[in-house]
Amino acid sequence: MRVSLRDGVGSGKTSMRSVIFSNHLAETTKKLGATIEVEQSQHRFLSDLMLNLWDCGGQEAFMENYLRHDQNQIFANVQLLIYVFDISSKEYDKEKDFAYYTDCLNAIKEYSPDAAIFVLIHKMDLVGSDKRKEVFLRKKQELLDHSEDVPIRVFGTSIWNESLYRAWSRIVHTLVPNAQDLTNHLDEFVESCSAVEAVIFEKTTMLLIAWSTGYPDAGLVQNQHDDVDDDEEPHSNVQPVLPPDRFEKISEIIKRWKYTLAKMNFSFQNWVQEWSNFTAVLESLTPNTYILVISTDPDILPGALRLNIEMAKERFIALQAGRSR
Amino acid sequence: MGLRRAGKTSAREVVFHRLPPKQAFFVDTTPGVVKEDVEFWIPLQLWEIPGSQGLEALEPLGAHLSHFSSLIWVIDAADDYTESLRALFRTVVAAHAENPGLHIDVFAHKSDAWDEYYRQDAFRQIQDRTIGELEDHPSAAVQELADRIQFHLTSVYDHSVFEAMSRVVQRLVPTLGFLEQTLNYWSQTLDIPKCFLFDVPSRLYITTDASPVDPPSHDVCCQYIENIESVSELFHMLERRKGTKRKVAYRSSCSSKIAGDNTVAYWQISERLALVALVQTHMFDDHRGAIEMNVKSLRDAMLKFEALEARKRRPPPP
Ligand SMILES: Nc1nc2c(ncn2[C@@H]2O[C@H](COP(=O)(O)OP(=O)(O)OP(=O)(O)O)[C@@H](O)[C@H]2O)c(=O)[nH]1
Ligand SMILES: Nc1nc2c(ncn2[C@@H]2O[C@H](COP(=O)(O)OP(=O)(O)O)[C@@H](O)[C@H]2O)c(=O)[nH]1
Ligand SMILES: [Mg+2]
Repeated sequence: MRVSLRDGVGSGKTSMRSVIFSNHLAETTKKLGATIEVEQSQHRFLSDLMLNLWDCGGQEAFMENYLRHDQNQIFANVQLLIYVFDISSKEYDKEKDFAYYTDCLNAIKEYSPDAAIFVLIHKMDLVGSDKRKEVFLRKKQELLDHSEDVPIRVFGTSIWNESLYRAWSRIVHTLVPNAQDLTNHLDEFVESCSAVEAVIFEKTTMLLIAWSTGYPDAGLVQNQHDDVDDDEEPHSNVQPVLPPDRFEKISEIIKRWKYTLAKMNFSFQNWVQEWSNFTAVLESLTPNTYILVISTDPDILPGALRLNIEMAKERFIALQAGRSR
Repeated sequence: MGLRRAGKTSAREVVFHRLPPKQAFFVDTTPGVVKEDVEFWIPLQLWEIPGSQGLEALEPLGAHLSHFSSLIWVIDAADDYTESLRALFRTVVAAHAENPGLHIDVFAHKSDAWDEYYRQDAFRQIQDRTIGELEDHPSAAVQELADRIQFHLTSVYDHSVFEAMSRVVQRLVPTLGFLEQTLNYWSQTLDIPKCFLFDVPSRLYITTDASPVDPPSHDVCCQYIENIESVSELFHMLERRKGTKRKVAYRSSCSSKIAGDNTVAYWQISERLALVALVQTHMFDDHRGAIEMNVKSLRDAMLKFEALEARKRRPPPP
């Protein structure tokens, strides 16, 4: 499995990669130097998925080089291409930016025609929140205009908020085998413990792998399962009851918590929270995933939820290993 | 108080107004005395005297030092602090003459700017120089101050400024002797390494057991409160379904297991207060009943105490 990350210097690829894959907090990314050459890093994801990230520095000379000479080395066998645009990049560089982008698309079309292509419009935090949607849509349209017939999916991202998790969760979701089976089993689980909802996160990245709700609100379901390219705002007309970005927020909270614990050489194991209005349990599900269960049933004690998770473990481990029931 | 740009406003904003530390960078110089009532378990009023002014600034406002219980002097420890120490000394001597009961705390602030070694070194220097100078003063009353003045290493980038502020406000809360005893007893019998009674909204703790506070444990407990509060906010619109068995009023309680044999636990005690403890996981799991019973008695005692305090504070009937 190869995933290619590309585009301009300082567009944020390295920061992004470290926030998602190396448990860096956004604050600490300023210390990273710009990527000059190709940096390859491997990340094990869900035990047997190997993500091979090629972080291709965007300095012009090197860009030229890749595009001219190393095409087949870089573009062959790519399953996923993630192209990063920096929203703050100068207007006068625009045509060149797009030229590299189309060159890249053409190369990928030739060497890995089946690759899924994602484009991230990064550093969206630099755009005032009132104009964000408009700027995003305009940029997206420009991208579509430059992509000819190649299908792309576009996300607005920033390392400073949960938009990055949102985009990456969607991206890795396309790589998870049995994604549908997983969701079906999770649905069953939610029903069996009459939970409000349950979520499966990958452990090191805290990216969302599967999600299921028992909560009777269509707006929520639609928001998570739709398959359109997404921007910052949820676009459902149903007023959602729960914040649509809650899982990304939880990912961030857990990452922060892990970061604090790491300073003391501790590591994170679980959470059990009993509030006046809900109960939340987050436990290890398989060796590389956590499950979060939210319940409002006052008769179900946290202990019972934990027991349910304990009993479901085996099933999910088998499922992840590629075996269905 | 403290010289200009020492970090007074930043510290105040971060602790009492939840200013994200990153944004302390954009704090403007304070032009005049700022006086504010802050949210805390007991009524608390904070005055910031900008670096450009001294104690004299109080006079035109009709305030007198004898109305104050504590004085915090903020030093920019990342800069040359000679001048700040001189001003501190002058201020302390003057303040002591007017209000001998005044508590004095010195924040050696911006400690994040130094690495571990220099930090301790600078901190020791600040203490030694201040204490030395107080001891050399001809007045016996001022010499006495050398033992009473308290020093704290602080920074807005970790939770140390919360720790220091907790220490300051603790001296202002009504005697919590019984609470401290309970926490001590509790931590000894159940072998609990560390527990704090936090005022949750401000993240300041009002008391802790007798063992020394080590900054990482304090940091973990503060961060834990922040984490679980964020989770609770995300789901605040949920409502409990109608239950059949349990009709008890919920008191929030949370726990997080961390490596090996450690658990961070949180129990809501009263509206604002929560007990946060670092517990050994095997104790937490195996002696849950005993722990919960102790928490319950602590809660009952605390509620009685708060009711009593509230009654005291209510204006007497005419
Ligand atoms: N490195 C570091 N910088 C800090 C810290 N606290 C405050 N600062 C910075 O110090 C500068 C001055 O902070 P202020 O809070 O305005 O200082 P002040 O004491 O209120 O200053 P005056 O109002 O002028 O008396 C700001 O740029 C803050 O970002 C800290 O803990 N660490
Ligand atoms: N404002 C903002 N800055 C970012 C964001 N992501 C990265 N940066 C900053 O952009 C700079 C370059 O990032 P880096 O990851 O080294 O870029 P690369 O050359 O593409 O790998 C760093 O100073 C980052 O802190 C973002 O989402 N918003
Ligand atoms: Mg100020």
